[in-house]
Amino acid sequence: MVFSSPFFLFYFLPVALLAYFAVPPRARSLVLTVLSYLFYGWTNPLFCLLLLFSTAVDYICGLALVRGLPADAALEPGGPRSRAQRLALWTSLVTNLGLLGFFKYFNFGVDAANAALHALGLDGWDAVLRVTLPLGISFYTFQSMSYTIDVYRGRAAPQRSFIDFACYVSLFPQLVAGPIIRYHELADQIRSRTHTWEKCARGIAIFCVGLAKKILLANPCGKVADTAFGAADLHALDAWLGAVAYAFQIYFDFSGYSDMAIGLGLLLGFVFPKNFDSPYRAESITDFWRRWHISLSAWLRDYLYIPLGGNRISPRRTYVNLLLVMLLGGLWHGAAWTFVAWGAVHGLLLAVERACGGTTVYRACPRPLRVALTFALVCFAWVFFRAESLAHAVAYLQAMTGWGAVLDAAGLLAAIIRHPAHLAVMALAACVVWVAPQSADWTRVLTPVRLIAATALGVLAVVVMMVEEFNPFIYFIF
Amino acid sequence: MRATRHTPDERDIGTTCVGPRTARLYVAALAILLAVAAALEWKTALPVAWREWSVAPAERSLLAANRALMNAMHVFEERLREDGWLTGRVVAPAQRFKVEHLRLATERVLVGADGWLHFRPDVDALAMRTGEAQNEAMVRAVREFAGQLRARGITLLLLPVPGKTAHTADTLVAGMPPRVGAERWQALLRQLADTGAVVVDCDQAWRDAALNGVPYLRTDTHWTFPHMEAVARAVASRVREVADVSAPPVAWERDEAAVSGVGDLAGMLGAGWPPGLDAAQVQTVRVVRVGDRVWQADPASPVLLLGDSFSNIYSMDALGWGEGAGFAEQLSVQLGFGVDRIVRNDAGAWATRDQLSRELARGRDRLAGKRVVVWQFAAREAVFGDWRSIPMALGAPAPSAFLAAPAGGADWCGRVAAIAPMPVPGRVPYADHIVAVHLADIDVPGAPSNASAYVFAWSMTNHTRTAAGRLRPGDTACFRVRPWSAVAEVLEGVNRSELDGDEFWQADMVWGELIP
Repeated sequence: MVFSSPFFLFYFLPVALLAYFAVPPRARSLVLTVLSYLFYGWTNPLFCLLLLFSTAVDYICGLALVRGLPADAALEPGGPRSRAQRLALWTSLVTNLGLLGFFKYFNFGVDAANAALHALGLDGWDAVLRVTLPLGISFYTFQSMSYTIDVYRGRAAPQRSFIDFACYVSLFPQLVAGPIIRYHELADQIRSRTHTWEKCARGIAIFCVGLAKKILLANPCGKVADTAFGAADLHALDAWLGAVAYAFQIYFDFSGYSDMAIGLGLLLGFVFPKNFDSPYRAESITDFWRRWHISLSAWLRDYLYIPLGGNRISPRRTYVNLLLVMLLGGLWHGAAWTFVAWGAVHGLLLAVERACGGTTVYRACPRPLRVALTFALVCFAWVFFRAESLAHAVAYLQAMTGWGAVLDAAGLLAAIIRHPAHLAVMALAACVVWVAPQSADWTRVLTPVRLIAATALGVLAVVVMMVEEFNPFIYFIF
Repeated sequence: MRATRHTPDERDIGTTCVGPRTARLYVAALAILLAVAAALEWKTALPVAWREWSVAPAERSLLAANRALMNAMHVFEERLREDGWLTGRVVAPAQRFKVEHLRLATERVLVGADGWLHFRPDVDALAMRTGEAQNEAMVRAVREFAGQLRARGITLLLLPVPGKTAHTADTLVAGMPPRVGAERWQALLRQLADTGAVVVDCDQAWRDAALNGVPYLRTDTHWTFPHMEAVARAVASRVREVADVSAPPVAWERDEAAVSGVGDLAGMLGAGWPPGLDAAQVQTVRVVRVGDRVWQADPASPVLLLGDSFSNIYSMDALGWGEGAGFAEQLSVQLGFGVDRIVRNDAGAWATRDQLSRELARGRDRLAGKRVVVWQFAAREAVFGDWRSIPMALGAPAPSAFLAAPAGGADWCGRVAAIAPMPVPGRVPYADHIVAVHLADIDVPGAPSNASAYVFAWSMTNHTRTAAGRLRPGDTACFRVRPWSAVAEVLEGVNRSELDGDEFWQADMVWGELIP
């Protein structure tokens, strides 16, 4: 189920809100958990069993970690851990990473192994099994793992109530596409949260803005991007427009979804962290990663980069750590070499910036140029992210540079890519990216005019949603 | 990486500056708005869609039950959308605004200059990347089909028809030459020729005929009448070259007639109408007849035509451009004798081969006495078509387990045991569709108590779902039935979906009209 669908807006959401507020506060976590499983199971009911299994394992591991301690007591941060505690942590990690590895990377592993065997002139493995990727598994396994790690580190007390823990893992507003909320950030809110008219008003306004970003900006840009990336041949201008359109699509798609998640969270009394901070206004790649998918970069920093040694061991080790974290970050997005290449490009750029002393390489340029240069580098990397294969990515980059002859039929795509309505949407998207305030800032002070404007955007988005068939959601496949 | 300065913060997201009264009013107003919209949606769509749940079939295995449930949920959600209150009130005006003010049509129609409309898959077939696997599948399927026919002494003659945009690119993008994609076209012809089949090049036929004007209709995906006629001439000439196709000559007569239509592309725009688009285009066609009888397919002909909507236009009235003057009719005139035909709109790579295969399996030898099979399909099928291998084995006429409709017709009531997949109206380029229904537990005097029938009925007419299109397994339904052969001449060319399963390949086909 996606937020930007009539079924969610007119059937699931009213029922969910009614059920949630109709029951006494102590039963709300249970209601929310049931609703979240219904939401998740709507795509494939069997996936609920997987979610339940992952939740049960982490819940038991969490209890095993604090066995013998009084209720609500956390482990001593930095204190010694017993063998049983280490075993509990490893059980959780192996289970979660095992599930993620199997469901997300099995097909990729078989294909890669077969490619290697064929390259060596050997017969490949004719695997009968093709694994279906469960929706949102990358998000909820990371979220669930953060619980056992936080408890192990003494950063949070374990959750004694299975219902409350299941509610944390399955919380439908952010279940399938984040933000990835670490346990210690939400532990108190799971136990008790406040519901105010102000929170609800802001939640509705942010939800409307998020829906508008998704339907009015991301989807039209997606049409342009799909056309450009699906083309056999392109003129350089169209290739650039396609790359920029994809950059806009993925940003508005994901940030719009995050806004909707934050808005729904507020309606239910939760406060989720902001996931984007105008990433295309970044002045360097390092800055970009402080602004893009903040919840993922914070997770990778806290649970991977720092445990690897971060920047404390040696400069060379820092570069290796950066590259490793970004490679794994790329692979987290999808099981394909294109995602690995995307991670590698970002890792290398981060390492180069680090080696040059933070933002040194950009310092000589005026700010607009720094922003433009960073955006161009990000677009370059998005080509790998969007392409169907590495060969496709290279061909697309060639088209962006204008190398090689172009087939006459490529001109036909100008009718789609350079359609005045599409160019107008891209111009509007550019204004929102570089000029307009962020949705979180814009809704901090809610005047009646802003409330009406947000609602109008929401209504317009619903109308367009009803008309348009094209309504993909990029991060659903991660 | 440094610690982000944007940690979750109650002050950042959790609080906002808004007057308590304003907040209350706003939340209350939005709650009412949502409640009203939801109530209208529930009232309009839920009673219809809910039926999907009440008849979910019981499955034995967990995976099968899960699949059935997923399918039911998907259909349920689609129906809620299709029958929703907002869909009924918002879609048409919004679509009209898109077309008239933004010159944006639909996912499948592009608005060009001077009222020209283009079919997006035609553009994609010319300009988008094609998969090597698709190419290989096409070559394999054509080679296999040519071999199957050769084994019976029949020559396969291929007639791919280029997409409209390939010859009218200048009407879509100003400054482009009219003809684009010639290299890809030549490559396709070479590939097809390498399969052992004979290939007719439409481009060459049009050059040879030295016709004036554009080969395609302005608001339709198909060719103009003169250009179709020129291709029929070229195909007839090629048929005579590759095989001895003597047959008793027929004294055809042709009457000129003016037909006007709005075009299938214009129909796909829904309610919208681009500025400057003429309401109708006129074509002068030649209706073929023998005496008082309009042209009819000749099952005894040495030539069998397999074709898609390019063969149906000017022949099937439902396409909006008259009847009796289509490709098969003009090919018959050029050959001097009648041709047999299996023609179906859309899916030219698969649909007609599939139908031929089913007829052979049922013991009806449509290839008996044939010397040439002309296989016409849209060139975009090379990119998007379904090129699965299809057996062409002749089965023995076996007693069917299904009831055959009496020639005089009858009324049958039964339980819907299965129904073939149906397209969603507005999401497919064609306006009409026929669906296969497995009707079980029919109570017919003289027949076993649990008799079954393989019934075909309209599921969609004029882009609107019919009552039969809403049937689900488990429903009870009554049909006024006739033998399929009684309607085949008229309905054979309409898109239809059949049920999978060996038992249906041998089944007697029955035409049914749902009795309310």
